[in-house]
Amino acid sequence: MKLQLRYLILAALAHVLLIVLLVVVVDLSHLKLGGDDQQKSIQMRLADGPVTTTTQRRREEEQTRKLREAEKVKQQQLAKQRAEQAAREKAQAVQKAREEQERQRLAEEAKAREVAEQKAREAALEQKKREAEKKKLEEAEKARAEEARRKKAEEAKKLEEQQRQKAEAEAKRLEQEKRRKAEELAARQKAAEEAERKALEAALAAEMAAEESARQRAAEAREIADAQSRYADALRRHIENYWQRPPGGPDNFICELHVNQMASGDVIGVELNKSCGSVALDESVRKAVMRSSPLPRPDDPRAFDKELNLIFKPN
Amino acid sequence: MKKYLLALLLTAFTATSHAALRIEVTEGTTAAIPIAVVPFKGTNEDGEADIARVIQDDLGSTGLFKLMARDKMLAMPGARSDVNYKNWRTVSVDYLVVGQITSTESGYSVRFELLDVYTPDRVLASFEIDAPRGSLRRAGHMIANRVYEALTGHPGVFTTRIAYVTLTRRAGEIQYELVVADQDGYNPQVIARSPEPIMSPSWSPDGRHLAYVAFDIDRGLAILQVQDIGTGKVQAISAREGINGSPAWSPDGRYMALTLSYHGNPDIFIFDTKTRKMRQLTQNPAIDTEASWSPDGQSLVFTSDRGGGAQIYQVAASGGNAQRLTFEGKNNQRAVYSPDGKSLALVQGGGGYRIALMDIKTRAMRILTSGPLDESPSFAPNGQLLIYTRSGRSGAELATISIDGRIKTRLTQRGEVREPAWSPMQ
Repeated sequence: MKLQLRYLILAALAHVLLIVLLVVVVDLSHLKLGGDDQQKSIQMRLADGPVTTTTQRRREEEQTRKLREAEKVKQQQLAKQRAEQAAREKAQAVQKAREEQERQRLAEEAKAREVAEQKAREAALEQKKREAEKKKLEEAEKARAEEARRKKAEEAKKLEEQQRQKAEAEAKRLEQEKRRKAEELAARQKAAEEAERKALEAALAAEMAAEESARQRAAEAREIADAQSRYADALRRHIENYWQRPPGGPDNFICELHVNQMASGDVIGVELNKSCGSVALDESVRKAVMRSSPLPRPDDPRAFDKELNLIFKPN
Repeated sequence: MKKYLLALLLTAFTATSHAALRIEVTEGTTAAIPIAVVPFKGTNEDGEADIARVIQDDLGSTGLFKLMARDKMLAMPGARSDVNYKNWRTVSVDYLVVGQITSTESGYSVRFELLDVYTPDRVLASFEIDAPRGSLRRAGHMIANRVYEALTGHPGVFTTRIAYVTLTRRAGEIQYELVVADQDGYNPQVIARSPEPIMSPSWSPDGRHLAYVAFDIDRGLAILQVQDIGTGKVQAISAREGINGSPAWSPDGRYMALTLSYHGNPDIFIFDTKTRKMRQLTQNPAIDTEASWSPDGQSLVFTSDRGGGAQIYQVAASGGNAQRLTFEGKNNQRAVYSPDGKSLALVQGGGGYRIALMDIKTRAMRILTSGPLDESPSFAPNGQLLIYTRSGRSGAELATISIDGRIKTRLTQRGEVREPAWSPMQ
């Protein structure tokens, strides 16, 4: 509303300014006509038509005056319109402000009413809640008392039951103990008899097993001994092939070599345990063993011995 | 404590219960010891002597070794570090002699090693010696000695010498020479020469003197004399009437047993070189001659025909009754003690003459040679062989035989050879 009013005023002012500018421009063009060029054109026009000049000027003056008056009237009308407009606008603004005020008042009143109502509602709710709690507490207390009473009664009953059971158990236990002792005695007697019997059996079995294992051991020992005898024979034959006695040695001698061999039969050490009595013979038996390497292996692995005692004794 | 004891006993028991397997080997062949004497490195630079050849010949002469021929050798290492043992095993060699010679200012430095082909880290013998120029053969003999001893247990005799008498006929003239040579016949050296017989050379125990019998034609006498081999100086021991013969040194070199007959018949006398006194050892109407000292110097053996034929008798060095030792064979003479004193080598007659060996303790006689005319046995100082003379194509010649009778060698000499005498160890 206020904005519209301002626009109206601005428009009026613009019009006024335009009119003023128009008037000033006309004046100025009028004033400039006093120069040399104006003079010349006027003179030429005089030469052409010296009759028209005065009339025309009058007409022009009349016209200007009329224009001025029209303008003045227009200005007056405009101002009147503006005043009316302003008055109208003012009235409108006042009306509007009044209406606004009224509306605000109404709104405030409504709000206050609402707050009051809310408060009343909350108070009612609170009241209700408190009452409910109180009731609940009372009920809980009642229940507790009831429970305690019930429990006490139950415990008393339970105790009674326990005592009864205990008495019963004791009686039962005594009876069982009596029975058990009797049974135990019987069992012991029976076990003793059983043990005696078993011991006899075991002794018999052990005797038999010992006999059997001795038999087995003897058989195994025999087997090994046989295998060793075959092995020794194979070794003897093998080594004899490699024994070259030096010429000129004695015919009777006995010497002993200790030989270490690997599982492969490869000789890894030869020691003279007992000399043949001659360096040449000692060397010859050493050489016999070294040349024999690797030694034959037994047909039965149990016969293998990584240590061999070789007796060299010519027939 | 008891437990501990028991444990000990148990281990002892198990240890003995696990005895090594016992094998008796009874059969073997008899074969010479295979050995390779590799030519010594550096030998060809000078050419004085092929030392490896000397060693090889020495060892070969004993008959105990089978020597690998050089052209069969795949490699000729000069030291143990260069030996490829496996290769030598594949060519069936048991022992290897390697060495090298380097020249020094005065001669050579000689080094050798005796290696066991089957046991690479075993060096059976080795040495490094300086040998003056001209002594390489001797160095070789020394090496052969060491090799021989390492492989037989007996000292080698390759550095010893032999004295013998030669008889040569030149333009109808007979010449006798007393020669001393290396045991292999090298380096013969005539130490006495005569148109009259030279007999019975005998080495002094130090090896520096020879006692022998020479004849003085002018005086018609046999002279028993001692000659210094080094200087040639001669010293007469006895030049009595009759026999002055069969000298034999006592082991300590102080006394000399000899045969003298100046009082009638030949008996054994003992000459003391220190006091120059003569003592009669045997007194018997029969012939007593050819004495030999026992190595312990306690007794002597000699030849006597007091029982009829010639037999060997034993008598104490201090004198007394002689005891007859030989009963086998038609006759037995010229006995010599073996270096170990356990046996006698002698000449047994009966259908020819043969060298025999008698065990003094058991009196068992073993005939070594086959005759028909084998004489003058002399033991090598190691007792392993004997040198003697036998009849060859051009008269008597030298021969050796091992005491087991199995190994015989022949040493051919110019002319006829008599009465070899093996020097002591040198």
